[in-house]
Amino acid sequence: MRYISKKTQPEAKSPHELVEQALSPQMATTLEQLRLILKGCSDLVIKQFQFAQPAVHGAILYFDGLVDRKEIEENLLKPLLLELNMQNNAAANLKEPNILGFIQNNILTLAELKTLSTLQEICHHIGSGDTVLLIDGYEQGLAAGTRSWAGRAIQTPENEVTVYGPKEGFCETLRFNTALLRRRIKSSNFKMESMVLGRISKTDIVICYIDNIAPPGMVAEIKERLGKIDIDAVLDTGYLAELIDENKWSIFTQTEHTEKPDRVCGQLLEGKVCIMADGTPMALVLPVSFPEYMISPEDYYVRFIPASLFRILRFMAFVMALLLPSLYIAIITYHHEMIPTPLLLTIAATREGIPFPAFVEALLLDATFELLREAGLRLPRAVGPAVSIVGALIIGDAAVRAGLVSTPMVVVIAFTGIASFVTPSYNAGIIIRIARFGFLFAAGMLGFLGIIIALILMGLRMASLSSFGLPYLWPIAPLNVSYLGDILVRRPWFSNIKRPYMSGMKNVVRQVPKNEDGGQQL
Amino acid sequence: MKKTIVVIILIFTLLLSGCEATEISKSSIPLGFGTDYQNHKIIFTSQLADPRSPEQSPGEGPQFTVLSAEGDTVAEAARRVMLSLSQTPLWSHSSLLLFGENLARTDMALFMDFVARNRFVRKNIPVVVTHNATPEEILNIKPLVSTYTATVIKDIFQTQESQMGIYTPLTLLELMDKFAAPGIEPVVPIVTIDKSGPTKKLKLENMAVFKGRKMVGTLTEDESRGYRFMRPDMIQGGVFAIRSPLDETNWVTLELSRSQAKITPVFQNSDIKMKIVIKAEGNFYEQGGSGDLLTIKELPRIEEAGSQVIKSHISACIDKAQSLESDILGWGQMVHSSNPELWKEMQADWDSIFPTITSEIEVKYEIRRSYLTDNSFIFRE
Repeated sequence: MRYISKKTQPEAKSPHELVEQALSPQMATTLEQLRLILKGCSDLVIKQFQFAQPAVHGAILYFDGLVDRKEIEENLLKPLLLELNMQNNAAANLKEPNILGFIQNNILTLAELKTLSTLQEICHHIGSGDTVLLIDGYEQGLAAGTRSWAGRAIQTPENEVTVYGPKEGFCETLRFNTALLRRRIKSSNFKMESMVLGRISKTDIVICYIDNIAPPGMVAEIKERLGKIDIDAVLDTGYLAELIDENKWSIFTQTEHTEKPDRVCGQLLEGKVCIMADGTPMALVLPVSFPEYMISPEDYYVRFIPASLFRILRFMAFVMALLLPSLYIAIITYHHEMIPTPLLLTIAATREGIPFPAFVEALLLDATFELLREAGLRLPRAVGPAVSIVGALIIGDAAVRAGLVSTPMVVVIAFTGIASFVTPSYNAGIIIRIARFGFLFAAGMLGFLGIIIALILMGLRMASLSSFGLPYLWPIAPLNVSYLGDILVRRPWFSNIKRPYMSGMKNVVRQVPKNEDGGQQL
Repeated sequence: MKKTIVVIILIFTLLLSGCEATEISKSSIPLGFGTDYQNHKIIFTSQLADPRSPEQSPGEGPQFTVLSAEGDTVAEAARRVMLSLSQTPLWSHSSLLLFGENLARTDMALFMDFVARNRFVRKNIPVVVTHNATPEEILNIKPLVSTYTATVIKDIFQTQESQMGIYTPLTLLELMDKFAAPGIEPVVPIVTIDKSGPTKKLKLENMAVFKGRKMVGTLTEDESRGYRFMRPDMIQGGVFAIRSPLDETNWVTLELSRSQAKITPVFQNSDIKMKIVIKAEGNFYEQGGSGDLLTIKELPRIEEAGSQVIKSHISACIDKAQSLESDILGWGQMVHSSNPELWKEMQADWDSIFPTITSEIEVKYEIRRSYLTDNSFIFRE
């Protein structure tokens, strides 16, 4: 290192230092500095040109692939090089001292223009897909919004399938995503505050909330915690979820990742905050309490009776996914008297000659199931079905025939697997999957007593958590009876007058009943 | 601090765990067990299931094994069974308890303590006395349609209750109660082997009457019916036959849909008279012979005949009980609850008072409906 530093000229500044500098009035110098900073960026395009009479030197810079070249040609170069000359008083106007201002206000037909004054800003803007116009003799540059790149279009989200309701999903382009939200909530109270995070990635982050619904303290707290993040890159909102979480060592997360704009909007209207980042379709909604994980946006699109039944089914599936294998283990190892004799006889018949204790058997099968699920996620599309067939055959048939596992255990694990897919939130599914193994161990060691102890411990742990002021088990603990009616079942819209109240929330009126006076208009 | 307390409490709960893990593959499932007494030795018998998985063919032969062992006490005999058994029995799944007539006539105390205090024995299983056969012989009979003898006997009780309505099943808990409580004696159904056909089959026949710790006699079928009518709870189901009012040689079958007995002691001077009021409802079920019976004129006569039959069963039962000097009807308890003072005086020599008690029986049997689809079947003249 010492040799290298000796060879470099002492007066030359490193690119890092250069970036901090203000623009030089000489365009040539600025360009020289920019070339130095962006050395090795082969996608950088610098076009120098002259325009007007007397000739003014100008240059545009952009990264190829991030800009709409047609727009640059039509709205930036054409007005400068062609239309300016055709105007009668062009010469006169250009005599005025502020050519840059004149161009900005009178010549360029682009909608989005911004004045820049440091090299850093220039770098950031061209990195974001803007085109920067420099004019000789000015200490400022113009950033023109010409962002356009080839990206994924808006598609139906693959991982959150619903039958009713909107089918659009977020994509990787932040602006498309914010537009999807803005199209659904047109109120001026719907705020989208932007922020840039990531020292290297310079990722655009947007914090969305509805101003008079979301508790202001919570919004401020989220913004403050986001502001404290100093990381090199933010490639997904998952980074942020972990970085701003209060309970860093907990498996019980309080954030929701979703690709569905309607889901986000529903949450925003209940006072939640959504964080989106450029480059990822996953929006982060927070804070979410555990019972709220059982809500699917679809519940609100169908009539309340079927929706409530689905909700109840989902809670039952949750209990099943969490406890079924451990209950089975506890019963057939400790509490044989709890099942009817014919069932015990059937189980006994199938378990004859099984080499492992039921607990080990359950552990093996459950782990195999997790293995298959994980493999199914990562497998290329083409081989996916092949592996699932092999998995189904090996587990379902061959293992039973070989006498390695018993049939009832396969049935139990299969039921558990199905039940664990019922939970609408993937995050909650992960929690259940992890907790299930804990319950399995508890049941294997102590039977029902172990399950009860594990349940108590889990309940205590859950009840002690809270995130951004939202208790983890809300509205069950602390009890909020009026909102509980919209968690266990889906409350019909005609009686869904108030928003679920989170502490600090100002506006809780969702509907203004027609016959009543008063009530706050949203 | 609070957390520490909670954690300490949770740790202590580990000490409470009284059960130990028993793998199903290392245990056997006894479906029923019984005891008998011969040559001053207790014989303990247990029917163990030999479960076959659905994939295996059921095969020939019974799907159970019957093991017996002799010992000086029940517990010893039960443990001796283990000498020829590799797996731990899960007693909680036993669904039948049998005891041989020999044991019942000798002394029930030989056996009751074992079942009453053993936490693995369910108290809601039916008990039966075996007649003309040891429990081992009963359990060794391959049931006609079902797989396990022990469950079959349990199921027979349920079906005969609604279909036939003769015998009153008794659970172990009720047996314990009736042995322990003053003023009531237990009656236990008897199961025996019917050897009349080509294959041996199980059969419920008569009921064993106990007095104190011993079996003293039996109730016949009709007496058992009478006993059932005097049960304190409502009974449902059963059929019985009467002579047809049109033609004395024909029979008419009546069904019992529900019946409720109300038995009250009436105290006259120093005498006790039991007033037995039976309110029964039933259906007209079948007639042997032709002619329209379901008319306004005939119906009261059928009802009256039905009431008479019920009454005769009841009085037969009372006569038998009084002749055996065993208060199986629980009249002592009834006297106790309605006149505790008198009971205090009588309790000591209740056994001699019970046979002298008179009774007044009032039966009201009503036909509500017939469930028949048509008028009585008419033959071509």
